Amino acid sequence: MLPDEGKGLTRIALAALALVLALVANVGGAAAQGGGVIIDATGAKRGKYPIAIPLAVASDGAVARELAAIQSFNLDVSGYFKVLDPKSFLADLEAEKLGIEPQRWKDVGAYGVIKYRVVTTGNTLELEARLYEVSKGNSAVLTRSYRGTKADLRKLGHAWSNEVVKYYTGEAGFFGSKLAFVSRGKGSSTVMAVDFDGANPYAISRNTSTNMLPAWSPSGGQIAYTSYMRNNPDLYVASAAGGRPTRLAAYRGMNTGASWSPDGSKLAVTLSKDGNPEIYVISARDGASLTRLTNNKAIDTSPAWSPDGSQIAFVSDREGGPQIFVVPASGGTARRVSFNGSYNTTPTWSPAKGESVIAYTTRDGGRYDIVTLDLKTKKMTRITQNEGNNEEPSFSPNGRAIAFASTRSGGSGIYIAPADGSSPAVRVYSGAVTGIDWGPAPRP
Amino acid sequence: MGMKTGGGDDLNSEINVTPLVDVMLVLLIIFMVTAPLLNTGVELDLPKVTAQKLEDADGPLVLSIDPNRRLTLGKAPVKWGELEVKLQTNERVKKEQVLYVEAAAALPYAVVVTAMAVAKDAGVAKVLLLTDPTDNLKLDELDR
Repeated sequence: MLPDEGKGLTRIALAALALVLALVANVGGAAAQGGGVIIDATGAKRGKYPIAIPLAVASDGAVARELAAIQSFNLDVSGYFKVLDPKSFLADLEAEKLGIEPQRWKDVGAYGVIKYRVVTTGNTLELEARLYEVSKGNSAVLTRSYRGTKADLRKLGHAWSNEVVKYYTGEAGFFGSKLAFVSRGKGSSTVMAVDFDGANPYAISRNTSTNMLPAWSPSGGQIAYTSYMRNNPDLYVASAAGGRPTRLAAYRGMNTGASWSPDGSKLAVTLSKDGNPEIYVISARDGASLTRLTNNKAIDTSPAWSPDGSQIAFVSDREGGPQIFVVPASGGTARRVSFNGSYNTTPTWSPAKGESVIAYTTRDGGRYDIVTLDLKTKKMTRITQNEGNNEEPSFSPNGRAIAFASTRSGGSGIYIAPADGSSPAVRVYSGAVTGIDWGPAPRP
Repeated sequence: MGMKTGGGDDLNSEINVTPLVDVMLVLLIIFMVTAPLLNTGVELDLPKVTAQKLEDADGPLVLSIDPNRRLTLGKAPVKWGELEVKLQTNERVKKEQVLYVEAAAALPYAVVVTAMAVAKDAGVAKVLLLTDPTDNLKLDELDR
């Protein structure tokens, strides 16, 4: 061996290593802060805002833990935040109470800190919540007090999370909203509703027949669905709390795929009363047929009313395989909007203001995946890829997230993902599900 | 006429790769021998005595060790037993990949090295030692 050369080379190697380490160290730069809206909800390339949610002190322990879990889940799934690991915290929580010592939160990389105090007396629950921006010092930028019963815990947690998201982005979050879906069983299927985070599932349809394709009314008070309970696929409307439905449409053949008009006065449905499935608009009051939107030999189905009420998207195989078309809600000529692949179904509109975006299911290489399509810019975004089958998308009330049914290896169920595809989907409900429909924002 | 021997004066235009391969093999062996050595010990960038100012809006994240071996991370006292978890989960450390260590002069070398080893285990890419900037190093005292 050549000991001298060896030493020299070791030294060179060490120098190179030091250089690499120095370069790595310089990568993590300081993040910029702007005025007004702090997180741009439409910015696809934004970084996630690091926020700390320490466990409350001087509180009811179990309730405080549940509240911390609710807030962490909400902010995480919103797609805007990175919720920091509580194990890293350096603050003296006992001494801080509802305040903060900013430097100690800077030292763990937090830009925002949520403090709260939750106390239960008897059945009463009181929640004091504060939001701090670490760069703005030790006075809270948002303060709220809530009072309710113990059973209101999740509701209050969601209300507060919505305030936090609104503070940062200028628009309300979707926390506290509900999802309707179909739970498939052996020989029957049930229309159900569940909180967006998977809590409190309950049955809407209460029969042993096949029930499918639920649709929330714009006010959130009712759910329309199709049921075979009287052997024909008829359209029913039930209270969103569940229970006995009223039959709205029982035309000969199918009465399926209802979608409410934004004012709640009408429903777009698929009827086959004239021989083959066509799109009709019917009255939400008595089911009377008002307008026939399609008329051809092909199958037209799966209508979805646009949030401004002017258009209806639907699926038609008039040009071969199923593709997405859009037709004026008052009737007129339909135009094809989906041009990717040979099989596109289940369109749904984003409720985000000022946008004209749909999501749908596309078949790609034998698998089903969710994509979004901006009808103005024609920009397509994949929401899922290479993870089982993903079908039947539905947007959150603010349009920033998409729920869908997935059979991925992580388990079948309902998943939600940011609508810009910026982070992976999270499962909120597990089971064999179809027909996802995300309900409207909860009333404050 | 006898048999013709040798190649005469013809030029051989091909590259002679033998020395090249020799050098490469030697280099390979040297790297194989030195690589394990690089992983032992604690890498550290020795601070320059005339250190540049630290430009960081939030101030650097400093781990201080006082003469009684008590640790302070930023402004918070931490125990030796929880130091690794605190550093490992720290979002700032993850982003900046750097930790400044400020150790009291009287501390044994082993204590400082232990702190640095814990930082390395916690995934800190770069540990920097803070010094008091001074112009007159008291080298005479060290010789005594």
